[in-house]
Amino acid sequence: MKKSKSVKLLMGLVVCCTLLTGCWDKIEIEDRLFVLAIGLDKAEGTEGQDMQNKLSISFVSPVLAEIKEGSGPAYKTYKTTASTFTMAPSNLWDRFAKMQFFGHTRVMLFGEALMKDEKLMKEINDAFQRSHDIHQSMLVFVVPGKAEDVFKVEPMYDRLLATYITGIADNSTYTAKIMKQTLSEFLIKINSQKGSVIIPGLIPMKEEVRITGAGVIKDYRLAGYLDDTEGRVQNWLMNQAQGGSIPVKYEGTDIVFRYFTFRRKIKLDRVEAGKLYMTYDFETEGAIEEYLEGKELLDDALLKKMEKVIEKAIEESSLALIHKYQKDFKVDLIGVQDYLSKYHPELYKEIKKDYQQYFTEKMVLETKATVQVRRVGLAK
Amino acid sequence: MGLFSKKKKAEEAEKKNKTRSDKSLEVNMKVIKAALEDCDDIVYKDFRVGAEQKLEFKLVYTDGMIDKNVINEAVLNALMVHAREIPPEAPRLIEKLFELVRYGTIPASEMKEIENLDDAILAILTGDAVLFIDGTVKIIVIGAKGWPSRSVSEPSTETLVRGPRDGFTETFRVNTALVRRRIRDPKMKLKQLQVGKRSHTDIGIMYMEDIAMESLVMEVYRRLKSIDIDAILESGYIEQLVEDNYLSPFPQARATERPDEVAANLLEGRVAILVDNSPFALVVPTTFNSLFQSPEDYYDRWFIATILRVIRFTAGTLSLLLPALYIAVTSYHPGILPLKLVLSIAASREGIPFPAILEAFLMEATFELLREAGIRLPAPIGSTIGIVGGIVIGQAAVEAGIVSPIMVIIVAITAISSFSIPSYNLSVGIRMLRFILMVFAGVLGLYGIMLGFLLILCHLVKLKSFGIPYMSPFVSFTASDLKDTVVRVPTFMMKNRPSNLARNRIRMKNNRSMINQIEKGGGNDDEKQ
Repeated sequence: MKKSKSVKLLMGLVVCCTLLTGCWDKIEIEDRLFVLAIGLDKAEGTEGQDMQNKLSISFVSPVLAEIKEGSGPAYKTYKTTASTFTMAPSNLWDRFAKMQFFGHTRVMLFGEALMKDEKLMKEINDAFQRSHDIHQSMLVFVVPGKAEDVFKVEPMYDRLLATYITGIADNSTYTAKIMKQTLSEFLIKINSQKGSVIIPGLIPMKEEVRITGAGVIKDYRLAGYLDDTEGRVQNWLMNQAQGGSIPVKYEGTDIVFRYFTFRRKIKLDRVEAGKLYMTYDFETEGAIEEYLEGKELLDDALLKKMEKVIEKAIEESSLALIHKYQKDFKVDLIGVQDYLSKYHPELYKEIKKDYQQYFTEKMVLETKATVQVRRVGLAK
Repeated sequence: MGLFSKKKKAEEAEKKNKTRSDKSLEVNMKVIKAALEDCDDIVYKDFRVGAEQKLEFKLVYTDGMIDKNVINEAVLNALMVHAREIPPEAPRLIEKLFELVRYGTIPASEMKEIENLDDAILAILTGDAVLFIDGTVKIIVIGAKGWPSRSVSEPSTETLVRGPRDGFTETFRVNTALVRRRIRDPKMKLKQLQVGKRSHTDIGIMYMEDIAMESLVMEVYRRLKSIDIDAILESGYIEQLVEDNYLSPFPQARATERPDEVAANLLEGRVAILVDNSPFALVVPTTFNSLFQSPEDYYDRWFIATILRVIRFTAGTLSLLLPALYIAVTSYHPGILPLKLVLSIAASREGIPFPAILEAFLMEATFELLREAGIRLPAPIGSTIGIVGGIVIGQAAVEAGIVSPIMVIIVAITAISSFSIPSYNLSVGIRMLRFILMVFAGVLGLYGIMLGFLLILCHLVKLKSFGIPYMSPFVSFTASDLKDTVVRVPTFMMKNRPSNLARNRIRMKNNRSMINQIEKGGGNDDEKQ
């Protein structure tokens, strides 16, 4: 008797545990409004006012009927204003019969004005970190100008804007010019680097968009932009370059060095008179893609000379960006801090407090590149 | 010493309860005629033999169930014509009449003598000819069974590309012969009994004496003996009456039309039950794994068999889960599919008036209807139904906007998958579970499918067939038994019989080394061994 009672109780508990776990609504797939991209802007004309609706949020959703047949863009954009990000979807419930679904959101765009507002940035970051609707593998970009402008672009060949943008971002495998960052990477970095982070840039044009350069965020505020080449150098400095090409001039002829690997290492050379001397070591291998017709490239001496030229180009351009960080932005987004904390923890402990000051004033950063030309093409 | 010698005593005791025959033909016939009154298909043939025509005989048989040639040649011709060639010495003849007839005169191959009338009646109704002789208690039963029967032909439910083409028929004796022909071993036993108080259906238990577990054979015998029913019309009756769990959707005995399949199973230590009037033999115990096997797996080379097994297991999973997954994904978790696929599904579902679960039920039910109709209808009309159904399901429903094209694909894949499970019984069970899982998916999404699947697994793990776990060898884990599951290893590696079924486990010796020797141009025999 007693046993059967306890078994019954156990069964009841098991049934409760299994059946009361989870809680989600059944929404048919065609009743969902798939949000493919989100654009966040600071609402206009709210300066000085009560700031009731300080966010302007745009969404891109596909038009299902257009996907099957029809030409032209298969998506529509719509906009709402809200006081916080979380309020935006609920604001849409009184306008849309379908339920917004963020499971397939691919792209998140931030407007320039928003990024310059420290408080708003903090709020939004927090909203993303807590939200269970927003998944964090979507790509983030900063848009110089307004994010919603991007949604007005009608891409030439793609019928969905979001896949068009992610398609461009996937090209980062082939060229270091393009940066690709997911929301989770962005959030992790902005947290661990105390409000400073690099965010890829995206510029809307007439029939296309360009992923170019990056925005530099310092203390939750957009501090400036890196241009195309600087974006590439940024990838070198952060050891994130997967491939790309470097055009250089060799004795009046343009040559292109296309690299397959690009590795960087930071080395602490010495500490002298309160100053830290460090070197960025770059190692890259690649191919010379073009030169002059009739010229022999399988000449070791010539290749050595070319390698020197390329090395110099790499060293100079990276040194320029390092100086830009040290002097203009005054923030370390090039991995020095990470290196020191991991490889020289004792030293880092000492300078941790005034790190920014050390970085800007008491660090001498050098660059040194080693280029290896592995291939010279088919022509002899 | 056979397994069943103990049982003999009981049978003898049973005999005493039956009506004993009398010396007088007249008395016997009275009893027989009373019992078979109004049975107009019984033929009573009187004849007299002897110089003075004083020796009375009576041949009784059921019209249509005997081979008239045998009767004419072996009985009537022999007794009435040839007997005259012997010089009549009447007094001695009468004394030894029975012995003379029983051992000397009738040139029939199958004969036995009985002394009670109940057995005589049963023999008459079974199709034997029964010869009554005036003046003796003993009755001669002459095996002259011969009725119109289907010849051995290819089994229609278990066709193979490679393998023997013969299948069981409705005649018990033909079936036992088909198995016996494959195993010419005195250790292959066939124990017969009759079940059914009215039908007296012949049932044979086949097993290998030195391979099958004694306990298993006795258990099968015990369960068959326990059956008390008026008639056994098909082996399905037996299957249902001896199975362990009547609530389970999974078949606990394997029904097969193939004698080679039965032979293979006997050699693995299983027991086969053959039933008269049914072309389906039952093989027990059955495991989940064995229902996914086809005899062809062993005839084809091992990697072909392995690929086919993988396909079958995949098909089984698909047939169980696919519609449920469709419901769960479209109604609850569109996030787990690739973006373009999601949009294409969403686009195709737009304008469909039903939620996914109803859509799935509608289509699956339509398909089940079509399948059932296709089986019931005569073959010429059956194909028409196929076309009509194909158009209704495939095109009209989509064009009318009642179901989405994706759903049609799902139904089609599910249907094809369910047909690629070798065991029809199992595929029916899976069909049923599919609908249950669809409900689970409709209520709780993927989580529901997981719960449902867990429930099914719980049941499968608990289920036993004649004392053997249904999920063996996956549950009662023996590594060597896994050689014949999803993967079928090369034949020379399958040295052992299943560990939980067979007693005499060594099945073969590895001959690889011999073959390798020949390849190297012969060599010293001792070296390799």
